[in-house]
Amino acid sequence: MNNSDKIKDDNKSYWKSLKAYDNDPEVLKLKQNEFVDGVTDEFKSSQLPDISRRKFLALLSASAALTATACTDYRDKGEIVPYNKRPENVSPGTANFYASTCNGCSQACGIIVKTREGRPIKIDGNTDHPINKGKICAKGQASILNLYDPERLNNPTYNKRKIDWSDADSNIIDALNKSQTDGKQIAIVTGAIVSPTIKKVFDTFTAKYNNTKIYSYDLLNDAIRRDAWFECYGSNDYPSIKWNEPNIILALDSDFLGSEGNYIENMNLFTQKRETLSKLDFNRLYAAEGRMSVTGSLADYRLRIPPDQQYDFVMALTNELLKKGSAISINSQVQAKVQKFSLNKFERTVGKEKLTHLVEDLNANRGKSIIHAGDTLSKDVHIAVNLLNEILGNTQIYDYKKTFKTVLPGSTKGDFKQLIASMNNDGVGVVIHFDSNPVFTLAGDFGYTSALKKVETIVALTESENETSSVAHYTLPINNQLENWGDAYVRGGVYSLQQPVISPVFNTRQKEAVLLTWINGKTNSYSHNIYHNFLMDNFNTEIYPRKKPFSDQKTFWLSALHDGVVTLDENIQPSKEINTSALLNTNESLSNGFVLHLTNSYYLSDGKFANNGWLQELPHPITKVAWDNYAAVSPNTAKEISVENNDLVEVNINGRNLTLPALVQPGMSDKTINIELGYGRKVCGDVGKDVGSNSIKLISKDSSISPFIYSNASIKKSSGTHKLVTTQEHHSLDDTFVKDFHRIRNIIQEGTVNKYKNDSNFLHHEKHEVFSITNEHEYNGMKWAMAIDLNKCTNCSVCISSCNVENNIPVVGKPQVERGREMQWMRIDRYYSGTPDEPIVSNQPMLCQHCDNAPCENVCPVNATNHSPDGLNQMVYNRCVGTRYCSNNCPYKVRRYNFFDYRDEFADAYYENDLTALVNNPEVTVRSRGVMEKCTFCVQRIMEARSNAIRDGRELKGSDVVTACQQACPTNAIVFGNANDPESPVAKLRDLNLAYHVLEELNIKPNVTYIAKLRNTHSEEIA
Amino acid sequence: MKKTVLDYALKIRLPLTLFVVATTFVLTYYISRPERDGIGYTPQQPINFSHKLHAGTMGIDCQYCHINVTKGRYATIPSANICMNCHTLARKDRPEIVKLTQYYEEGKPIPWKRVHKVPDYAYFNHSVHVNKNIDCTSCHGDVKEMEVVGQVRQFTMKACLDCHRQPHENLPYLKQVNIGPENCAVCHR
Amino acid sequence: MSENKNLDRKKFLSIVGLGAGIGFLSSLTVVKLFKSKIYNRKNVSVKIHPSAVKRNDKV
Repeated sequence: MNNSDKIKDDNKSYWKSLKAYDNDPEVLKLKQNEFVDGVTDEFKSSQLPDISRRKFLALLSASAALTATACTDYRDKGEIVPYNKRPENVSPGTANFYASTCNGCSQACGIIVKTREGRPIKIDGNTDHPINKGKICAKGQASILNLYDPERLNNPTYNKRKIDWSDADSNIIDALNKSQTDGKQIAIVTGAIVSPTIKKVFDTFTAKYNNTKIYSYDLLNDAIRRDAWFECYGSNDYPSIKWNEPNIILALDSDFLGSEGNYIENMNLFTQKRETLSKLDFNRLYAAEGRMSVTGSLADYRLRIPPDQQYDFVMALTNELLKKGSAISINSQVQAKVQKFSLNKFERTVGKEKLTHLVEDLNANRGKSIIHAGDTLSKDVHIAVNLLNEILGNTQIYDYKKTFKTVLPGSTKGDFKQLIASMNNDGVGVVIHFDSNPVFTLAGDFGYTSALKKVETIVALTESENETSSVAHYTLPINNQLENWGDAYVRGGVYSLQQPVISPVFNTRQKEAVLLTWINGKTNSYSHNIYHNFLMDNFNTEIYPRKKPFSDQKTFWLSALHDGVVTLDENIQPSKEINTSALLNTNESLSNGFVLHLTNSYYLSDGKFANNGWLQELPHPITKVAWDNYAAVSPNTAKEISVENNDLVEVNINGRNLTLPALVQPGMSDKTINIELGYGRKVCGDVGKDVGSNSIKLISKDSSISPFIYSNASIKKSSGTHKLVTTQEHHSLDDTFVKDFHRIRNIIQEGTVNKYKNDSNFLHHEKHEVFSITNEHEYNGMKWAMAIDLNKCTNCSVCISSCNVENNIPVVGKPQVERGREMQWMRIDRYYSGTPDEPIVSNQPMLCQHCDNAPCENVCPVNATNHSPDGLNQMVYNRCVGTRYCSNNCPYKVRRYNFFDYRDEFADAYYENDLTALVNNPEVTVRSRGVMEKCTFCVQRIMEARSNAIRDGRELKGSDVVTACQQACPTNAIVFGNANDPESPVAKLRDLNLAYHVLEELNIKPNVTYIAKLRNTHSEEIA
Repeated sequence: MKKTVLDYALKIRLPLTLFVVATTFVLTYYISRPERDGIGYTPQQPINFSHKLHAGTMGIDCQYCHINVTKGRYATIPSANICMNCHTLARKDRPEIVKLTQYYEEGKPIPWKRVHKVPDYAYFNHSVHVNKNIDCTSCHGDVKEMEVVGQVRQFTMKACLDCHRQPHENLPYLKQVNIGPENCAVCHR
Repeated sequence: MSENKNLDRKKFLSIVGLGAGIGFLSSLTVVKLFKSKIYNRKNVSVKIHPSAVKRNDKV
């Protein structure tokens, strides 16, 4: 590089200034230095700070971070905000109770709703209600979740776009008026109506718009029974049965203990004759059925008779018993008809011995027995049953004081056919769906949906989006049952009231009030009190004069609301003479091929509870399947069509078909297919959508036997499988390892009444001494214990439902249930014994046994579970680290582990939102991921009772505490109390010689005692 | 083997550093416990309500305002209508009372800053303690002398258990008192 | 192990592991932040119905 400032570029060289050209030394010196002289004079590297750039940045960021942490006052404990004007009788921390009526089904049981800080958190039965007597079913318990369903409709919509109520009202009033002037029909399609005041609203509506016709349709109804009763006795209202009186009960496909009628009342009365503490006066239950129902599983004798042969069976029975005598006179025509039938037809499938026992028992107990036919059987069977009861003189078992009344008769098939024809001919101007879902529940071959779409104005008044509202123009959201005023008059002498326990949470209205606004014709006539006043006026005109109380109207109204129910004197209609010729119109059954039997689901009703996670997760009482329905077939039938569990099958009836998974059900009659209704909803919230298969598709409007029984069905194996999840393993009954293991290990110990009468100590003959090698702890004060009487347990699962609500049990969903991770603290185990064709079903509710020598307690590495001085096994959630050693050690496997934060995990955090969070019981911790939980014997109730006892200055007694399961059990099979108090019922049950503990030989000393089930068979051994 | 720098770092520096960190942490944790628990925490309230005036000078009983303390788990802060029992007339032109009246008229609840809080996993029950004649001052200190309420005692589990196990020392004014329950489920359910 | 390598296998893997660990932990906090943003917030008004009659005496 030469020193010149010239830049060489081949031949050219460049220079910047004249001085540069001259190679001035000054310029050359400047070139050497980067900066001009003097610029960097002040920069002295020795004077630089010691900290490097890197260190400075690190220091800066660290101090910023630390400052950020100091920005909050870590001691801040938030705010505590009292009321501005405290409402009377409302104190934070204390619950308030309201009496009301449940709308879950048409039985209208009385309920008491517990609210905390204004929000309802628990529903229990109303102890003042003479029918359900303080108990309610599993659907009623879990129905509280429907109030907090995040997919409840909040606002009225028109063609799926939000509109105001006033706009909707005015448009619909216009449409109604137009329909009137055009001469077109206005149809109101509703479900079963139980409220006399709603009927009055309908009457007023019809008076204003006189083209209105009301159509009432309920999928699960007692219409067949009423029709039969009308034919026999000329009355539409039929009596209830005093189940606590007969000695012999024959249930023909009648699930009166599990899902039909008011089964809560039925269970309560039935188990009054299954008392073991007092003199043994057991009734005997015969169940003749094709499927395996809850009632069948409890029967002492079970006869497998397919539903399409029930008529032949009843007639044959009538023939046998008529030969031995009759309480009424039978004309020769009827006699001739009866004599054509014989029991010999059933000897092969049922067995001669059972039939002989049945005939002898019925004969010996004339007047003290009852034969009951199920809701799904044909009218002919009902007529025959009515006649047989008359012949046996069983009419004194009918309870006319508590008749099943009709407020609004259901519409007939013909009515609906007319409606649909009218809709197709443009004869209907407005269709109003009054909280009903006929698009889903009506049989497909009515053609309702296609006819409906032709109507100009379709209105759906509904709580949440369903199949009907998806085709409606106006979808108007209505109040949940807990936000509603109402009443019910379904049983003779019992008038119950419904009051709102919370103001409407969203922009919803009472459906009756909506109709009243339309009647009024002015959109601004709506106020939130409009139906309250209407109801109160009706009460004052109808009920007040009947009761003639001493107080004035206002006071009586308030006291009626307080009690929830008003009992009235009814003039008891005496039973008229039966029209025996009604039998002459009945027909023999024709059975060929397979018979399809469609029955109620246990927990979903007609599909309205499909979006209720708690109910979907409640396992089926017999099969323990959750989140699905299936086609149940007997083991022989399954072999015939080479089908195993989970295989898809196609069920065909007259061109209607359904593909769904099969389930092999021991104990079913051969060639019978049983499918439950209410599943397969397509337009539903995320919880219930596409769960199960829609068996309503198989119903036809024209059916020869009954809408629920079809005798020329076919079933064949289809391709593919669909995994059914159960909360209990399926074991083949032929598997020698597990066959009868529940009897070998004495988990289930049973006997018969006769054996017990002969040898009352029969349970304890094989016992051996169990002794401990360590010092046993002494419990001298209170010792909490529970006794479960298996004679009374009917597998209804209300206890599980009640526990779920009380203890904030999360819903986990189908995939998790498949892995065995359902979180219910209580479960009912179902065991089969005997043969696959004639199994004996045993139930056992299983919950944490609170063992004195609990194996879970000594293995917890962090001591999160230990024993209290009053006998409870405690679980401390904040200590638990999730080792799961305790669950490993538990021989009963009653500990549930939170593998996920289930509120977050289930259905994309469906239940993790501000609304559903309100259903939680504030006295019970809401558990997160990683902690173990189990039944606590409702320790929150024990503590509350203790606190009340201290406040009142008295000693805490065992009877002060009622656990959720005990409170819910309709038969009072669960008894809880102080084992150290010899007078308490639980101590008496523990000392009973029928009492045993499960897995006693392990010496873990469980505190839940089971009373062995005694079957009332003729022999001493269980059949 | 030759001694490397890593050897020295591993054998001496690492354990030493760890020990120093651990000790500092543990010491700070326990020494700062009372302060972290809130002893001395005296937040500014939206209305300068003086317990010294009302409970001390005027002699109003604690339970006149904190009404739920014998009935349920929570003692409850009085709602504004209890204050207005007197303050519709009493000193109604004072600035603090004007603030109170404004809250009351507008229907807005008063957002008091919370002073005493037991964590959510412990279910404390006031009525059980008060109904056994334990005085409010045993836990909340001499509120009658406080202009602004502050926390004076520890609300740790240890403090609760100390009193449960030795009630006679901690509550000398009670003639007859039983040992309080020690089992987990009474509080941690 | 060659002396001229700046970053040997052991050091490399330890840096990767440390980075993964820190990355994982920090991502959790980020995820938590995002989740709280889409938390379903509804303005739920819970109001006691003024005309309802309580029944606290008999339980």
